[in-house]
Amino acid sequence: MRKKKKERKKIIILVAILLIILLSLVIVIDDERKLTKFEKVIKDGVVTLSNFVSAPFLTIKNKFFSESKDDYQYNLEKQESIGLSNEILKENNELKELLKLNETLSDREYINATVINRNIAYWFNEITINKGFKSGISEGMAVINSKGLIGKIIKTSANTSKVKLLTDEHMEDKISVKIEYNDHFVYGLLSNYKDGEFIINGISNNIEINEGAKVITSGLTDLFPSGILIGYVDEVTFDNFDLAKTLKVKSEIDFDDIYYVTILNRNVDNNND
Amino acid sequence: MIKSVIIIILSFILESNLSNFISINTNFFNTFLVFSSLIIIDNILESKESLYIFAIFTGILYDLVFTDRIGYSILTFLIGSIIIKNINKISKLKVNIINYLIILIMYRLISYTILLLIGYLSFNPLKLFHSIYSSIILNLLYIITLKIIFIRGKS
Repeated sequence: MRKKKKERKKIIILVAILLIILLSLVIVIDDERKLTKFEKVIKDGVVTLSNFVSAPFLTIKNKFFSESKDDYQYNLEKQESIGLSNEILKENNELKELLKLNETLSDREYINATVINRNIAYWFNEITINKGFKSGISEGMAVINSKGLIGKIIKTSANTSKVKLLTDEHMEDKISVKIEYNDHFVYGLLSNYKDGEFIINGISNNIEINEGAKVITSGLTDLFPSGILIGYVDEVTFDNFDLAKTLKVKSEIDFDDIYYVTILNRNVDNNND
Repeated sequence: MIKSVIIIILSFILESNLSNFISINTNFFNTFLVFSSLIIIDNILESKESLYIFAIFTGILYDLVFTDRIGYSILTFLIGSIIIKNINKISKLKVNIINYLIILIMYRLISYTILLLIGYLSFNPLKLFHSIYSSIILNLLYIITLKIIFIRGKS
């Protein structure tokens, strides 16, 4: 009898411990949590060591896999147009002239970075890049490459940053986008990422959107600046009640094969007045 | 003990760097190499307590360096090491490779279930299946290689 009671107590204690651990994990696993100083120091130290070890292999790889190298060169040489819609650049220039501002909210500074590891631990859909707050990177900045939007910075240390990819299920419901149709734009929200395509729900039935229409960020939320390419409409379907359209958007980015990225630093000058 | 530390350092370096060379789309994705090394470390460390302590420290380091979520890998590595220690009770088969396979699959199931329980991931059995089959070959090869190099004499 006593033995049974003891065993029951043990089980209760174990279940309680497990519950406490799970509850604390809910807090720890939050993407918005900032790294502590200790975490930053350890991370930087190990990554520096790891970079040192991998440097010769990466050099060899870059020599033989020219595609990645080209992408990097492209990023460096054509920073001005990486992933940005010409329409938005034009609009931006016109606004600048009109308001005689030296800089607007859409002005950006570009920081190029190399991916040092990808999707470690598998479930988190993140990549780590070799630039941190020392290079001017901070949380929330948009990350792009020559083919469009990749994700946003969620954590930074002195020499590294973590990028949450657009394909992660914690990302896509926050992205406001606009879709090109007949020289106009219609606004929508990326609501899902499934089978390699982003889904945009609730587009009015009256709007004629063709396959191949460009989808770019709207800039309506403070998450991403406007004009960054997300992808192109791949399929237009109707919802169950035939009231609204659902768009499937295909990104040109292979999210599993990213080697070089560019970080957009919003360069807002407060001395405009 | 020194052998165990060497294996862990090697696994960390490989796990960090191989992701730059091997695409996630291939069936040779290298994730979970650090955990796989614990299977071999079990053969080096004598007592189960030392394996559990080793698993906790490895988990802390893994969280600090890779996941940035202190606690998650500590928990999964600890549960994983308990499975490693009790694999002979779980599986009646005496074939090492099948036992390694069972450990790796159970580890992935547990790490996925924890994220499901705390609401971080939504239920997607395909993703779980992909995580298992995409990395199993490389992990098994890694375990066998480590075994040949570090504990050839013991087995």
